[in-house]
Amino acid sequence: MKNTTVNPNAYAAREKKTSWYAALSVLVWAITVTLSSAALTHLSVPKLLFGIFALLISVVIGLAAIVAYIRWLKALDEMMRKIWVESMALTLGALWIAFGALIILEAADINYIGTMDIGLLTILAGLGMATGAIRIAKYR
Amino acid sequence: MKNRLKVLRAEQRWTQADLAAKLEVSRQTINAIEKGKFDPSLPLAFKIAKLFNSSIEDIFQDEEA
Repeated sequence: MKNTTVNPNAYAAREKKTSWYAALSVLVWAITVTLSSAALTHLSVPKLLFGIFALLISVVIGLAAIVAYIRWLKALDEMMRKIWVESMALTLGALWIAFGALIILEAADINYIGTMDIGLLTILAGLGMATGAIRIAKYR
Repeated sequence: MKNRLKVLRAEQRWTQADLAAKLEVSRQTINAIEKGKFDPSLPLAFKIAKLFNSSIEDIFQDEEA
């Protein structure tokens, strides 16, 4: 039998590192959006100037999060990538349906989009991603 | 698709984690392949075959064949 010399933790280390960056970037983005929104709502800051600044920061961090997620997906092995891409597709579909429903309800004056609805979208995104974790748990 | 991966791994006294490290995939992927729940790509199948000094056909068999 051929003796292979490989780093025993190469895959695990790569996966851990990229997933850490992905999670961190999303956390930083969420904190930025939350703090910016809170500051615009509760503090007496020049709304236009601060709003544009906050928007630019959140967009830049959001783009960094997208890059981090792409790197994470590329670091995964083929089965993990398949599972997570399917989960992301489920998340995207659920968000489209929920967002479309909110727009229709808003237009029909049944429900006005508020902070709670944004929270609902976040929960839906979390549930979509949780399906990936559940599928992977089957192979433990 | 059926495969002999579990048998070949056992012959080498490797754990799933050992094999996963050698193939640079997750242990869950090895588990899924062994259970026949996931069919590896051609590059991974070649990598497995090379590791066990076998051909792909020796390790993986089409269930319909």
